[in-house]
Amino acid sequence: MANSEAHYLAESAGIKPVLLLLFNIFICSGLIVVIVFGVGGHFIENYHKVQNQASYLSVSKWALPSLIGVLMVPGLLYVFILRLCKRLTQRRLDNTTKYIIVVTVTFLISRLIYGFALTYYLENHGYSYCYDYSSSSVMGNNTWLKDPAYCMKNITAYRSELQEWFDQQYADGKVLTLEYVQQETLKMDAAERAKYPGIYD
Amino acid sequence: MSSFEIYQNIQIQQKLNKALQTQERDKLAGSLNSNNHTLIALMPNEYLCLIASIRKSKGYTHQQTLEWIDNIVTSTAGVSASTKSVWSAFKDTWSEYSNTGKTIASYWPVLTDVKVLGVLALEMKRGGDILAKYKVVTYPNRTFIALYNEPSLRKHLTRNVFIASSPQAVNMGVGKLGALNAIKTGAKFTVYFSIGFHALDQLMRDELTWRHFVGGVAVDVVLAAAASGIVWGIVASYVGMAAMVTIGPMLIVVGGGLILTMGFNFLASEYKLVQKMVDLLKEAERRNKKSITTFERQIKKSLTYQKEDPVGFMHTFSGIPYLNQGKSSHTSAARGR
Repeated sequence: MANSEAHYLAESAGIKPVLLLLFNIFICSGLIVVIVFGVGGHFIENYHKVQNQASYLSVSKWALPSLIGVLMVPGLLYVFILRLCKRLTQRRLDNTTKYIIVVTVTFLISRLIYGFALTYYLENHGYSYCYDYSSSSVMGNNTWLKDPAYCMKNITAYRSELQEWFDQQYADGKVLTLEYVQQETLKMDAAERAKYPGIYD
Repeated sequence: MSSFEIYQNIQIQQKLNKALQTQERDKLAGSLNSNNHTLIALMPNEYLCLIASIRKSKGYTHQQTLEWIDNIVTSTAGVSASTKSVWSAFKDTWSEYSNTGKTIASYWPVLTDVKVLGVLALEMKRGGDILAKYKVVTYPNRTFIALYNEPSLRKHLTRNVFIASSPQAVNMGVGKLGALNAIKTGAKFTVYFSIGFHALDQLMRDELTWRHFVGGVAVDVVLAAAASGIVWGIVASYVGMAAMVTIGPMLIVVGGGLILTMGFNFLASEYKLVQKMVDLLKEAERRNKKSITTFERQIKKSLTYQKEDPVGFMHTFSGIPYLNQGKSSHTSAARGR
């Protein structure tokens, strides 16, 4: 080729780099699916729940920023596919790297802003944070409730069941009352103790 | 009246006076004692701490104490609004700290990488171009990193060529080894924070057991390890042998690592990995308890059998057939017990 920049870059020989590229392409494709459909789906669902004044929300401060951050993954995929086909040029690599830099910086800044904005937005819509329902995992979801009285104590043993129950009540369009929530909590507590006798003594 | 009688009367009178004085003094001391009050001035939060420590010394758990005070404060009509607000603030302290703590914990490993990235970007900017490139040059037995930038203006990387494994290049996050160093540091921080956060959570929530601690930390560690390994693979494939923007590998570590962790975390939450882990531990404990109970029952049974029929017991113990018919019926009866 006449232009020196259009020369394809030399790739490492052997099967190992090719296998690593294939693995990376698989992971990146999977990551796009998980973030766009999974996290994005949850984000939209939560938005509708807030609009409909749902009594229970399980939200992540990483949801919207990760939808921005996932834009870097097609850049990575592009380079991997070009490397696999031995069609990567220095110019293409540089341009993709610049694109990834812009996306990553935006992603990091958006996380800082979104964290504060989310808290402000939910509090403005009458929600309060419930520590007992929130996940203990470092990047786990936080739970926000319309009525702070629904935030029951000592429910960690059956927290996921209770969260599913809240979601089910919302899906069924049922209006919750404190007595109803308390009753369900007691029922779940009794079921848990019956399932694992001796564990909670 | 004789002089002796007069003397006796005086003595009695004096003793009577003395007794009356003692009685009055005792009465006065008693009256003073009953009106003696010790006043200690406490701030509202000090008072709550005092109550909590008294309840704790009586054997009540943190949760029981909280519920007890909560019940009194909310249901008593005479409690002032200011007391209620102080109590509410006291009660919510950990909840707020947990939310902030979780945010810091999730962001800290990133911040350490961002710090390295910031220093490197500043260094490149000092050299003339923030997007300056580097290239890996390989000679037999040794790999070098050549930076395409003005070295005299830089503060830390004051040369243009470094050995790839030199501490200067690695600590500044230059090249693949620099990225690997950042990944390792990030993974370590995630594990330390996860253990610290779960331990603190364990102390604050009475209903949590060791199973929640083990389950939560195990899932966090597995996710951090998986994300670190995959990010390393991505950086290695992306960088290759080409000339690369110096801050590129570090940015991929930061951005890619976060996105991967978010994806893994979403899957872990969707498939309830922590809950499943906790349930497995509970189930294992339940089975162990059941096995121990059965084992104890069998030992008791064997000891009874050994007392009643020592010969039969030895036959059963050594697996030799027991042919004594009379004893055999007895043996089966004993076994059935």
